[in-house]
Amino acid sequence: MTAAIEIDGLEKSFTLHLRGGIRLSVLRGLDLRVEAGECLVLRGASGAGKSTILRCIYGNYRPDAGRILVRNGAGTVDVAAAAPREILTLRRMALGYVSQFLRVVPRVSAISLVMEPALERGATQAEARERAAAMLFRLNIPAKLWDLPPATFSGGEQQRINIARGLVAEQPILLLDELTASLDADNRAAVIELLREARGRGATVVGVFHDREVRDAVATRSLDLEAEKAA
Amino acid sequence: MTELPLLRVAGLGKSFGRIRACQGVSLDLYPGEVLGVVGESGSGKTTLLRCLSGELVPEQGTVEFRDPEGEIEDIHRMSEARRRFLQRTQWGIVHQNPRDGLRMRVSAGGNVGERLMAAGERHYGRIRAEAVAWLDRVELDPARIDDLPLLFSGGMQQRLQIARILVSRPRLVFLDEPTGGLDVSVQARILDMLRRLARDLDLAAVIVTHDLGVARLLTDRLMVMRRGEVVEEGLTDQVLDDPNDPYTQLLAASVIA
Repeated sequence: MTAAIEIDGLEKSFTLHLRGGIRLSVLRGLDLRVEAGECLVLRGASGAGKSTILRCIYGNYRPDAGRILVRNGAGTVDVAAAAPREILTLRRMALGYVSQFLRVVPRVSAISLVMEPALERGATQAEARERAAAMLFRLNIPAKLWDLPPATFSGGEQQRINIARGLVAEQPILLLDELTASLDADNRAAVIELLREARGRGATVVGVFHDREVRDAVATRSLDLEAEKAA
Repeated sequence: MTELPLLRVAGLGKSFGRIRACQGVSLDLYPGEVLGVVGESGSGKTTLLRCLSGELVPEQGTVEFRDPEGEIEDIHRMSEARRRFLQRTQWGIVHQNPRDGLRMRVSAGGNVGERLMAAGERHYGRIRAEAVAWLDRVELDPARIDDLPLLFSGGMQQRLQIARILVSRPRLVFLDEPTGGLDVSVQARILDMLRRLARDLDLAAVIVTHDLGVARLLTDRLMVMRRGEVVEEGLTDQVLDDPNDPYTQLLAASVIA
């Protein structure tokens, strides 16, 4: 088996200088190996560090210590030590991160936002548009909204556009942070189907899912962070 | 990654009398990379930008630029003629106030065509056609090609200035608060445009701003300056979502929405 992600001795704390220098230690020496093609679900109470792990893998949070080896094609990149541009390349080619919140860009249409990651990964305009349209269609975004900027869309619509944006580039590794929170049953089913397809093409998934239905449908393994800490 | 940096800055320092405007600044900028420099007014970010673009001469350090032939030269140690040539053809400066970057008594088309002529283009028809294409690209009505920029609104002038700089296809662009002093709606339009152009033209850019929203939208990497020094740097989302330095935490916590 080859590891898609291999984490050794990951430590992450936050020092809040505006709050008198309080130090919050969130991850203390985490070791974690995720095989290619696995779907690992992170579990644990709020504050256990689930999102922090995902953000460290994505290179969004900078760890205090440890290694985070992420597979990119034939090689691996240590996200904890990589230069900014190496992380950007890794994200473009290998790592998708999806949260439940869409960062809207003024004046940019929904479909353009969804096309972007596919374009960055090398798709042509036509291919990207076709794939983005297919995603939006499957996530039940009415076609009349596609060419509008999502700033005025409902929370659920924005969330689904963000999911489309996160899955459209078909990256080999997907980091999913609560992406189905507050979706209705139909849309949840659509997301489950998309995740099954991603797994079908061999994608590795690490995610936080509070939604049991989604968890049961896609997970191959789960890791309890509370238990990990106590051990 | 075998690609070489386009701009390599080491140990840069500049003082005005007894005030050290910036010191000990080092950075590498690669082709296609957009670097943001943030900090409050007086932090030294504009001084840094002016040292990088050749408008100010630093007292310490080097600013090396790699030309298309792969030749690496310190921009402050080359001849004046050579620096001017590179400024006209290889890099561009977008000023906060478009009046500093435009010739207000020359037509819009003339403003755009001027840099093409400076870069050696002599064919009037081609220059005019390029000017029309660029006005359109920055969402200015090409029918206004013969109007003076004096008759344009602030937002239109800013877009014209951007067209004037980008028409000669520079590899590196310096922008000083490109949306400062504009209405929020006008600002959004310019930001969206810059974001698209930077990607389509694979531009390297250094953008000075005090607006973290602008930095988040346009930049790949961020440097935070305070009192002339770089206090923190990294990927833009790292610096904004996981700031380590007390000053950066204060900046990130002060963003509205």
